[in-house]
Amino acid sequence: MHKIEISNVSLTYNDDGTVYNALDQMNFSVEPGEFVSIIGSSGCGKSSTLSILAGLREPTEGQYLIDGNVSHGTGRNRGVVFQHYSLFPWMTAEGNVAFGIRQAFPDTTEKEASDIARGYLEKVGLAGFEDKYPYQLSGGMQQRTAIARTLAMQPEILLLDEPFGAIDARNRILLQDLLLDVLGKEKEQKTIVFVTHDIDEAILLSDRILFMDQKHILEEFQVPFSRPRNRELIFQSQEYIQMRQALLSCFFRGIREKIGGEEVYL
Amino acid sequence: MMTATLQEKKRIEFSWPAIRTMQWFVPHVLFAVLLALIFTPGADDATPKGPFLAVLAIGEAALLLRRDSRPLSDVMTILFLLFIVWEFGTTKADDVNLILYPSPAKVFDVFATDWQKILDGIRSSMYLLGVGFTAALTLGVLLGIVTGSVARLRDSLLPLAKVISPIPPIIYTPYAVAVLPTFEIASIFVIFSSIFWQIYIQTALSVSSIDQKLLDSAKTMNLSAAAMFFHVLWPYCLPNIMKTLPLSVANAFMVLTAAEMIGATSGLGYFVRYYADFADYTRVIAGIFLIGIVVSALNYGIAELERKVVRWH
Repeated sequence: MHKIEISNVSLTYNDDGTVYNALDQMNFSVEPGEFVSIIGSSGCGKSSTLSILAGLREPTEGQYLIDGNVSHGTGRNRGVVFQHYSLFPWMTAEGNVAFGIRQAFPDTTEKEASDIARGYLEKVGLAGFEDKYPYQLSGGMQQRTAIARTLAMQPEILLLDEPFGAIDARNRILLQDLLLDVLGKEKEQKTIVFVTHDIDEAILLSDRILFMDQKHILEEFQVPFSRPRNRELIFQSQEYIQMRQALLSCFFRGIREKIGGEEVYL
Repeated sequence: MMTATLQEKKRIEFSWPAIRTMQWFVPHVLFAVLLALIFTPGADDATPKGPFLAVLAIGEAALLLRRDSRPLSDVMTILFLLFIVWEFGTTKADDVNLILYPSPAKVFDVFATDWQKILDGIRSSMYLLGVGFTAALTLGVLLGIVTGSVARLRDSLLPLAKVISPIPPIIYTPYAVAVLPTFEIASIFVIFSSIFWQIYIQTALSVSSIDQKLLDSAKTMNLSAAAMFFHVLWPYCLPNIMKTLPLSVANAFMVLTAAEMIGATSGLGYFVRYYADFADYTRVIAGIFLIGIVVSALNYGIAELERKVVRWH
């Protein structure tokens, strides 16, 4: 298990001469085996943070440390699930997962990889859909395949960038439960960073929630629920209602500051 | 009110089946007319009628086998009509110059008598086409993927390619034939250049427009360079490349036959030019038919290949 540290990280994009500041002096850390959600409104820098964690971008300033060592570029220890369209359209569901396995473990034979792939597809409820191409699968099924592929590569750090953002409410609930279930069954725990704009999802899934705004982490909340978690019980509890309120007020404060008045009620 | 409309509809529809069934008879009637024409004595009774009759029989057999295919029925109607005009115009009309306007029986007879030469021609043309095509495809895809994925190459090479590519290769075919040591090399070169640019530009553009999300996903999977090339970039470009292939083949064939007409000693283009020199227009027309058949067969092959290879749409 790995510890993640983001230390004084800033990120600026240079888009044809226009310099755009995406992250500003950001600090946070994720303990080994911890599930941390980063929550915030669109454009606050959530996805930029995740792309730094994934290694797709390098911080302009500051350091990204894994277990105390500066990390550059992508790495085998990290697996990423994106919001959409990350499966290779020319591979079947099984082909996608097996391809991931063979990249992560080059010694695996094709037969072994395809057997393992079938196992993971079954885990995410896609038994019988192994030979379907992505275009033949619904959005939810594609995302389940992507999750299966990432899990099958057995990364120790799991990064999820609004993985259920483009999925309808019912499938979203199914996928959240699936994630809780699959992660609960994994032998070793993973260090997980989950980016979302959905408050309920963040409370339900994570150990800690980081509220992000103005290009850095503004507040931090410890989630008081033990695992395994029960959706119904959590959503009825007093702690949940308080936590939801606190998070909502973070969002409201942000909006109020942008509008520029104290008397704005939402 | 409702019933009245339904009845009316029924009456209208009732009149249609009659016409529809009649339609099915049209090509068969035309076939009979053709047969009658062929066996009526005329200007060209010496030529063996076997090959022409065989072609007609194949058409009629296809019609009988695929009785439910309306397009086939329509196509055969048109073909039989054309044959009737051709047969009548060349053998039954007065004062026809049979050298300039050979009868269908004469033209199809060429396939029966010259089949050896025809096969040699196809083999020779296919060899040049195959070598040029394979080279253009391999290099075009390789260089295209490299160009498309490196911004600096893309910005410098693509504009150049766009200037060079529109020059029709036919224009420099005579020069290539004159400059290059053998005709074989010259024609492979012009075939190559008639296809290469299209595939190269298409591939480079495909790669440079690849979905960033797909690329990010590939990057986070830590793909090796080889896996990136063969399992991501190549399959990503493949459908686009397959779409340009029929046009490429047509272009290549055009250039090939043009080249063969200049300097070859065998091949389909050579076949046509050689007999044109002797004013043997029967063989010239047969050669033109042959080229049409070969190109169609190639395009059919490509379409089948595309169906087999690109299964993810």
